[in-house]
Amino acid sequence: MHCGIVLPRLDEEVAMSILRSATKLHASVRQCARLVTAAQQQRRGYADMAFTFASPVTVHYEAAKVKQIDVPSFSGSFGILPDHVPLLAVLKPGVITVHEDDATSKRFFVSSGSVTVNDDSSVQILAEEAIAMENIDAQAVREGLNKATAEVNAASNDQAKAEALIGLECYEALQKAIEG
Amino acid sequence: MTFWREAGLNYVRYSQICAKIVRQCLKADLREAAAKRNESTVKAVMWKDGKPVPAAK
Amino acid sequence: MLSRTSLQFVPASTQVRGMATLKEISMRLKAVTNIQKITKSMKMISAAKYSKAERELKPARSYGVGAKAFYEKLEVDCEKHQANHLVVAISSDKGLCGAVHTSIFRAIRAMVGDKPASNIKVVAVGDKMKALLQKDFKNNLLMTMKDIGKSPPTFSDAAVVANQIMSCGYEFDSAELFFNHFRSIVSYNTTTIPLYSVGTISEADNITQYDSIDEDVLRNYQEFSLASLIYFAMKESACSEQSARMTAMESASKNAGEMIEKLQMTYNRTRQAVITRELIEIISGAAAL
Repeated sequence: MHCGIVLPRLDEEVAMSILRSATKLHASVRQCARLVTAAQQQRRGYADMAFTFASPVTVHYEAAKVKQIDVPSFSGSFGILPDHVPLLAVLKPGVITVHEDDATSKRFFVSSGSVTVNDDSSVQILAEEAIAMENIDAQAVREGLNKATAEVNAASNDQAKAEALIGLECYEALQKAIEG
Repeated sequence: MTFWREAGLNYVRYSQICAKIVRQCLKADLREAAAKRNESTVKAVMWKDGKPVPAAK
Repeated sequence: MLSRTSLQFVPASTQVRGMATLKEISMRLKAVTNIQKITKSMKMISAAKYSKAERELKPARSYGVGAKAFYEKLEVDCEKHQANHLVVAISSDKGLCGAVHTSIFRAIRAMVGDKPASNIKVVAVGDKMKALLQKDFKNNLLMTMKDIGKSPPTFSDAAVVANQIMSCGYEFDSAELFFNHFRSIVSYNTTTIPLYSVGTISEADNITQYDSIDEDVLRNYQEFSLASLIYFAMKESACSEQSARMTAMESASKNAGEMIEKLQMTYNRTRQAVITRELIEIISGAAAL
């Protein structure tokens, strides 16, 4: 950080401490700003969730009103309710459950993608591949799981190994989805 | 950091691998149409100092 | 395409002179009819491709809008980031589609100026874009992409482009995607989408409102949204291109049709004139005997 002010030598230490407290102040201002936005969201009350869920070739939901969405992410599965705090996340292979209302819910298997919750309470989930649970072929999953395990052991370098491990994780998630 | 990032992969590659697997696990009647989504035709040519550089591989 | 050449073809009735011209006209007539056949079938092909592209655009749109919303809401102080800028120009390999490629090129030139600074790098997606950009901006070209436009772009195509951009070693702070945004069958807009690096995003003023963001999540998110946005731009651009080609081919067929009509008229007149002259020759020959 450059102030552009020439300071006498003696005052240098004082100036540094001022600068340091200034950066601290900046951080706390940011913190405050965050609290304010959180407060604003609470005040808005129960808003409708505009939920968009799409893959590159299909739109499953477009600005739809739903009750809750359960999403698989790297930090574990989490639920999104209306008025969720703004959030960015990426998906890992797993099941997305969309609770449309109290009675009905739909389950999709997603490969990967992004989750955005905006401050206007709109939610966007963009998956590279999203398929309905009933379209999974259990036979193909079992075969793939065996093949993927073999591939992990056969991988010759770090990169191939990592790719094989990703594959194995994905098959395991698919297997879990069918069983659960 | 995740193991695949350490191995030099990025999330787009991660996503591609998973998406391909999910497509393979579709029921047979849907699998063929989905397999088309694996395909890509685009090829890249790097440029340096105003000239294309032939691929290093 | 035809409007340029049509000047040479305009049949002038003063030129009508005997058999040779008659043959010439019939040859021209044949040529123009063939051209019309070609432009007509090209129109049919692009009409089919267009309707497919338009069908596929709908999911791609809701896909792209989500990724776009985040970047547009992000309050990035652009003055602070005079650093590395990346321009990604998205078009295709194929021509004969009106001003689709040149309008992107013009938008880029308007943005970077005639002599772009060295901290601006350009990625050209599509051979036509490369051909335009390598003339003026060859020193700023980072990479070019080819083999796009034959079949509809897939997410895998976008992933390849995104992967190349990430792994090429150029660290951009901010980026812009240039592409044609499809509006209707007769119009498209050349637009841009902003895009930022992880570093720039984490310094944005309003990033703090997002809950529990760490470096890893942000990086993954940024990478995936790069691919999503490129996919969105590719789909928009493909649809604009097909519709523009359809319009271009339709007006070419129409021009050819008008030309055929004129040529046909001249041909008939010339034929009549030849017959009349021959008759005159015979009659006056007979009269001289």
